[in-house]
Amino acid sequence: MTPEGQTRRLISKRPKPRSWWLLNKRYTIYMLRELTAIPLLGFVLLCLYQLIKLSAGQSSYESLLSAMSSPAWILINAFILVASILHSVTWILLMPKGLPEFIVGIRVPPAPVLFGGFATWIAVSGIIVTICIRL
Amino acid sequence: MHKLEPMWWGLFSVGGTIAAFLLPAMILVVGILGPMGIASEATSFVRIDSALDGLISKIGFVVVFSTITMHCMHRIGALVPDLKIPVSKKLASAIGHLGALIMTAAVLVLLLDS
Amino acid sequence: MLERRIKVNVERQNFELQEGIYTQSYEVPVMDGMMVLDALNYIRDEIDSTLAFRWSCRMGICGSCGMTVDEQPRLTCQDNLNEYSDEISVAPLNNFPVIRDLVVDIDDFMQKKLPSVSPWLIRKEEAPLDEGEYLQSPAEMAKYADNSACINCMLCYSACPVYDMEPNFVGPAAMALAQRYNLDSRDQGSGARYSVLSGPDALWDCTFVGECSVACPKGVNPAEAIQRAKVEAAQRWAKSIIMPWSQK
Repeated sequence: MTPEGQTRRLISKRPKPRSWWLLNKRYTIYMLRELTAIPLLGFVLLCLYQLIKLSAGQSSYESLLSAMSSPAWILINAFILVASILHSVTWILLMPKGLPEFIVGIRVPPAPVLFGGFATWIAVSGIIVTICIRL
Repeated sequence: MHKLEPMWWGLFSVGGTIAAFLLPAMILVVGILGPMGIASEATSFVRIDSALDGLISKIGFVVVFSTITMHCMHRIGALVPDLKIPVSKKLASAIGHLGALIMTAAVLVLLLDS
Repeated sequence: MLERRIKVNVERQNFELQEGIYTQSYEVPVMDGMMVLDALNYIRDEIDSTLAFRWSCRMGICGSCGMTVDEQPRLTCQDNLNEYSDEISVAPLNNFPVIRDLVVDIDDFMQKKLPSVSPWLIRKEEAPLDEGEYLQSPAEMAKYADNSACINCMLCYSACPVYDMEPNFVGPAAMALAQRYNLDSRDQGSGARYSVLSGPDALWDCTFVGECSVACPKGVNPAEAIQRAKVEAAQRWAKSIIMPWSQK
């Protein structure tokens, strides 16, 4: 008993490891999803750098282009591509949860939203890549 | 500052959606197909330079660039507490948002210049 | 009948005996259909009467027997031992201060988080009694019915890493219950609730881990409710900027 007449209580939370996101696979997938932001930021910075080179003139931009054809750069960009695909998949999977649950009083089931999301993504990607190759 | 939270989240969401639909194709072209010579025309100086000439394409580029940047920086700010990095949560998110604004300003200056 | 025996490893804390956490193992005979809570009751009745844990209804509605079973937040009265191996671990809920053994301190949720979102019907003016009840159609009820199944068991708080790192975080159940009343056609208090939800340590701190919805034993989907509340709060904010006169 404490002087106030109350029972003394041991107040401590169960300890949690710093790497809590390894405790179950859903936490791990969440962490991978959030970590995609770092490679995506890398690509954004690359775009910014390209823009700087572009405004510095043709020879400056083209020296960056030839550097980017090295295997190391291709590998880095392939890694960023994988991260961005992971971002797209996880983002589209969460889309049904952000949209209004009811449209004109009818519950919107998740399946058509998911189907629409993935179909749009694949179609848009196909169009962009095809146009760029055919140019 | 707390009044702006809905705005940061809104930009994060718009950027995340744009990134989800456009970025894989863009990275494939800019980072892999272009340098490998499969889509070399698309990443050539003349193409990119003339594509960024028009006002509408400039606005389009700024919208896509700034929202995706905001998306990334907002998420990285949230990663700081998730990874238990001993930096205040508010400071991390403020630095993230500020960084995205600075990068957007840099793009605006570069595009107005060209 | 062949009897199954399982080993229950209980994570205990009792400052009167010793400081810190220790594990005590018990052998429990298990019959088909026994729940984890039944095993704990067996231990207390037959083996060790000093084991402390909280329970009441044994039918998944009082919400008091939440614990961490094999490192997952579970409502132990609904957690069938048939689904486990012959050795299980039982620990107090994560993210809550432990009072003793499996009993956690729930004051933070009950006294601070839950009342902060005004989880009751708010009317600007109550209609006189002789006008009768506030009517509601089944379609109107369907809008909030899912969120109303919450039994305040706090498993979602135990699953939420944001609550672990930010003790002031309003948290999954309280925000899902806020939505339950925001979406109720009889309620007129969403403005006040949104000022809490859009304020510090609420909606904007949620990073959509989604584990709250996995943990919920009653099929509530707090992650989804919070996500929809974010969309609504962002729209309300945009409206207040574009049309400042619409705000009172």
